[in-house]
Amino acid sequence: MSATDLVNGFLLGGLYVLIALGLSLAFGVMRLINLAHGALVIGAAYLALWLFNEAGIGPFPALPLVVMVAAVFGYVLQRILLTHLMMQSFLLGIVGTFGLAIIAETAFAVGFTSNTQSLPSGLGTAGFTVAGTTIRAGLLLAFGLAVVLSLALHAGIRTTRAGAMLRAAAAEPRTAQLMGINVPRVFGLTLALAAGLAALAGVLEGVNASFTPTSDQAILLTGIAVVVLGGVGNVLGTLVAGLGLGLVQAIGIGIFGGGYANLVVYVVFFMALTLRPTGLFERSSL
Amino acid sequence: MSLLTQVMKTPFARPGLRHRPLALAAVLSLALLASACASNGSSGSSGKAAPITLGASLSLTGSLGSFGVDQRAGYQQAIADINAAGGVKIGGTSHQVKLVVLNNQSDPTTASQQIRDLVLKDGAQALLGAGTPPITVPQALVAESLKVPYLTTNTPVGAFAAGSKTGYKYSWDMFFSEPEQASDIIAAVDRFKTNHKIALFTDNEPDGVVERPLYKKAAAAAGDKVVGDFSFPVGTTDFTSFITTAKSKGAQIVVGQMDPPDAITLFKQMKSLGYTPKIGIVAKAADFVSWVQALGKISEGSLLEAVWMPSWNYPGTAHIEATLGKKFDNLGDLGTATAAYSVVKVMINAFQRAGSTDAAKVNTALASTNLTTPYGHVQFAANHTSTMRFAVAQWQGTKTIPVWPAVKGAKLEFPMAGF
Repeated sequence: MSATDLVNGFLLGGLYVLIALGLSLAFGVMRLINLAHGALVIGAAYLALWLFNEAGIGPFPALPLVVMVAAVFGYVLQRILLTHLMMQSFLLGIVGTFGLAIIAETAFAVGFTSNTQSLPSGLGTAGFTVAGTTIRAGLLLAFGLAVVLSLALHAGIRTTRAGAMLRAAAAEPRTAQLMGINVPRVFGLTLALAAGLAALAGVLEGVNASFTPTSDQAILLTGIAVVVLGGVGNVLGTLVAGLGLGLVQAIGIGIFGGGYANLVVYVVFFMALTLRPTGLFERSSL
Repeated sequence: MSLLTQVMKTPFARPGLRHRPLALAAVLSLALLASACASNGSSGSSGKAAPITLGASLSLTGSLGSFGVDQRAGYQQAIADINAAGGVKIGGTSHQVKLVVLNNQSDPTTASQQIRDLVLKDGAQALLGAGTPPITVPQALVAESLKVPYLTTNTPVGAFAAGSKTGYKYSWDMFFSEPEQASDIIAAVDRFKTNHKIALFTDNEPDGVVERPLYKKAAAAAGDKVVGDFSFPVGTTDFTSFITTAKSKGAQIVVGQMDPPDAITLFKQMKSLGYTPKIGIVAKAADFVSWVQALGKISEGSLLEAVWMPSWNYPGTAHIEATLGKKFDNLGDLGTATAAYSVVKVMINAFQRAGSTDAAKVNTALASTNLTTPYGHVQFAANHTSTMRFAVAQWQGTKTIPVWPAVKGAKLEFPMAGF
């Protein structure tokens, strides 16, 4: 186990945080387990790929547009479809997102074939060495964005009026509605934010690794693990859990070998839940 | 109101005539039945012969999608050629060949179920296989239970044979053997001037498990040293620890047996961690142009398996180049399609020699196959496999240049320009 392994494992946790943040928000605010979250991540990667292939726009110059498109899509999806499903039944919301994930997988395969894709970017293959430790530039960026966005999101929820409305809608939707808060609109904006964060994760995932139409499944599992570990709706908890998961994975690989990477993560995940069923941190007061 | 109903409602004055409607109905029914039987019996003279239905459950999407697309092209071309030439003559009657393709999405469970559907619902009289052991072995086992001939390729023969503990009766495979693959890959990388230190990356799918000790054995026999032996589950997304170890051990050669998504991630991470091997090959992953499309410049100079070479010049090569060669301009995809094309040739040859569409007779005919196809000579051993040739090529842009066996005049790049 070298310093390079540990540092990059820790930084990889930043990518896990970006994947999980949107999922945590959706569940914390709307009680919606968005099973299409992985598809949102991969969808953003495919959109970035399409922009590169058709217009020659690189992944990072295209990032603001991809995030915006994802946010608008998330808002429209919530307002037109998911809110209505959730009003009828909590389970219908979950089933609806599951159906969307299946449709998305098929659409990606039809639109882009099932070939493995990767976003072309110098950052994805760039690295630098500090004191004998080689750091992957793409992961460093993911880590930086994860920390900044987590802190900004936490501060925004805690200190701004919009954050107060979000918390009110999350705590008591009916009462909030009666108090004049447009709860469906708040929910729409929540999924817009979640989708935007997912888009960011998707572009970074595509730059640092590869993706196929069915990559959403593994991504969703990772996100769920981080959300549950960090405490549902707890933004800072998600940050710590994601970074911790990356580090634990790197340590596990160092001790047991790369073949046990996922096994170590899930053993730790279940052990943590056994000790703290509600997650390592308190459920957020979202 | 139908004629029969009119007849039934017609009043009859005399009591004796009460039974007339029933009698008339009976006569009419018998007439209709006789007419139907007559029309069925006369299909030979007035209708077409029933087509021979071949079924295939292919990985058209999913992590193995590149195999399925190429195989489908090969199957479709072969069947088009056969039908254009008048079909298959069995017992004096020409039968057209019909192909039914289902998409198993690279999922073994779906692939197995679809074999059942192809036989029981679509009436497939024989089955054409998909690619890679995790898909083809489950398919073959289902074909065994249904007692329907199943012929596949793109499955190393050792992994295929190991799939049945009692031995196959109805399932057949024509592809390269793992020991030959391993020794040829080592011979190919040894064509380049390196320090003969190898970093070996293998996943835990059946072919990875089979190939790993073979690569090590072939490397030792060639005087190479495996300084990093990395094994991992399919779907691994972080190879940092393996790469740092390979780098610290100074491995200048990378050899792998992995699925495309994992291998693409590996190469990207190798680049970002500053690990610069001089030559590398990842069997299974680098075999298609999608490898180059995903990796871009990083793929430049990397090697690939080439299961077929035009320079082998088997009968039908010119036709393959004129048809499938227009669709696929690299040896990776073209080789897979050519192997699939030849699978159809072998299967239809079995139907012809059997003189019947009966599954047992076709299967018996398959056992005695002795046929030279565009892919090579096919003759099955007792374990139902036919070992085919193997080759290695190099990606130069989206073109492929033969590396092993060496071809005179072929200009090779070294070290890999991508690193």
